[in-house]
Amino acid sequence: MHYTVHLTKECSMRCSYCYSPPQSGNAMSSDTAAAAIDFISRNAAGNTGIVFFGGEPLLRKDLIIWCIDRCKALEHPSQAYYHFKVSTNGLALDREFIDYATGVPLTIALSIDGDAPAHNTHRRSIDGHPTSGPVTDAARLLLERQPYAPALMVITPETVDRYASSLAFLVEEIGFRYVIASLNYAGAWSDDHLGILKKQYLQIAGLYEKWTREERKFYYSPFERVFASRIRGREHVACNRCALGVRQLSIDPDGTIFPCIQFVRDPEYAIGDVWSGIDENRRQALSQNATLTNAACEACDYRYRCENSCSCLNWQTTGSLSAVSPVLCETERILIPVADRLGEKLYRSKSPMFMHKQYNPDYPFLSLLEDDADA
Amino acid sequence: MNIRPVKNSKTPCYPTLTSDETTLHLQSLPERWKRNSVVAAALTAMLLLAEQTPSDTPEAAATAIECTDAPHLPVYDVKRTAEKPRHMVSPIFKHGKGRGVTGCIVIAPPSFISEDEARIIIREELARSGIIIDRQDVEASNGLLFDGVSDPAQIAFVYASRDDVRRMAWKHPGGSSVSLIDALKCAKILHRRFSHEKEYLTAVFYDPMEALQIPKDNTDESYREAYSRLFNMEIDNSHERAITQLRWQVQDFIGWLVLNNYLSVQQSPPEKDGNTAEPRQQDR
Repeated sequence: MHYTVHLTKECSMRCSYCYSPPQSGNAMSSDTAAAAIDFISRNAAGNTGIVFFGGEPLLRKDLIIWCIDRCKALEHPSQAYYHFKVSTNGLALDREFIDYATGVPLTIALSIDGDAPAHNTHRRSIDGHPTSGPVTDAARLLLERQPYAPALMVITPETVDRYASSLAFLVEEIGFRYVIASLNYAGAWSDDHLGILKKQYLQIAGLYEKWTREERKFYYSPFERVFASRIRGREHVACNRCALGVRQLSIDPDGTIFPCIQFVRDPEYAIGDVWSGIDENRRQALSQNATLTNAACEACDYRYRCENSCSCLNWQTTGSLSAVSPVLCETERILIPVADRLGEKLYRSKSPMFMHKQYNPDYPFLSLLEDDADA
Repeated sequence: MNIRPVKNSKTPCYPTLTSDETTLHLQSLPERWKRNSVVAAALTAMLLLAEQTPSDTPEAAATAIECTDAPHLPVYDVKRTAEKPRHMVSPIFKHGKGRGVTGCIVIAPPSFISEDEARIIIREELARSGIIIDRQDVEASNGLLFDGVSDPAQIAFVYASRDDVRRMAWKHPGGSSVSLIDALKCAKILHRRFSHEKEYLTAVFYDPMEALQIPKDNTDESYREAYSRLFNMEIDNSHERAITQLRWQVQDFIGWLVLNNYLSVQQSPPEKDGNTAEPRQQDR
């Protein structure tokens, strides 16, 4: 179970694609944070993830530290075990906080869209200045202490022509090992953009093959997801779906609970609050609604391999929890065959790194063991 | 743009996990692992353990991890023999993978058994065989603590709980939310640490960490519509399976004691009035 705690709606950037425009003076109070942690503690079972979010959560570093301390104090009585993550734009990320986070451990995920031209297209400061310089500096600082910190990369129609070069920048120049790349499906995608996207995916496939043969350790989310959907099959992929409001919840600054982060801006999708708990009827209704499928998807060979079940994405792009965006459909139709051809090529060549990464269940353990031995 | 279903697509040529052909190819190692002696040793050990079969020799019995499918039957009368066993630490009886990966990225976390709950389960199972745990948190000669001790039977146990794992066998790469929790590895570490124990015959148990297994739904509901219901049911079911696995570990330990003539056991029939006879324990 994962909980996203929105500490504030304020932000130090004005990213043009942001789905939740920043609001000043909208921070979580200490009382609400206490109630939120107590709510999580009452409902936590075993391993529980807490993600600090915003706005920009590092504007409330004090609250992050307080929440973590409270969670740790409640671990034993509640029989829960917490792991923590924070998503940040990087502007307030400094060595002191990175050191603190590494000690907790608190995983820091950094939003960075790639090289300077790509990043600065959308991610600007409040006064409109480019932010690639300071964010790249923050990235290098972060990776010194957290070498597996993920880069959260957004690709839009305006930056798609720099997708492959941006990925190469993040992995080869900055040194990220984990890249979580997402298309902005709500953007104004045209057929021309889709043509560029296909060429970029083919270039990225070349990069992926090169890095795999170099035995570089890396994770590029779109391809890994496609490989997993094939290798681990339908049930594994289904197990790891969002299950709206079931596997993860979002708590906004005033303590209202939503089924996912995208819904935090719309009171209509509230399913409770941290004081009175969750309205189960409301949650079930949303969850049921989210599992309805598009008739066209029922007949599709990719039905269990594509992102059609993400209710957040569906709602953001179509206004309906279960209606799939045509843009998503088109982009998945491009992505899946490209990734599959790459998978076939690497398998046929018996690439040891590809084989162990995808087929050896002990790979994560061995990879960590290797890092420990090298340290 | 429209939603257009893909039909008659070509099945990818790289296989699924269930395919046998992948096993052979895993024997080819990345060069970076061949250059790393720690990883190479771990891989060798994993391969050896995978191929290892139980042996009747005392040496093998002391170190091998025995894997049995069925639990041993409970016993009622327990009598200690006078002869001290050659190895004072029993093998680790593998029921349950004992390993899980957690994290925020597409992972279904395993079900954990807390230390408190595990102690109750282990004591119950031992008591069914006449071994009564009368002390907890007893310091051993190696400075570690036994989770439970039976002074009359001179038997003790340790349980590799999540807290032990976090101290000894929890891998977190310091930058990803993915953590590998390896209770079985922790049990092996404990097994080594207790290998020179001289006072108590020691058993090492571990958290089976049963994984969630969302079952196939055979109702008329589509799989996705039943998913949330099945998921919530599976949280309880996986915990029950984990408890069963732990009980089997203890029952195998009892069987090992009998096999090594440390305990002489006779099954007593139930009392005539239908009450089950209380297990009796002979003092040394």
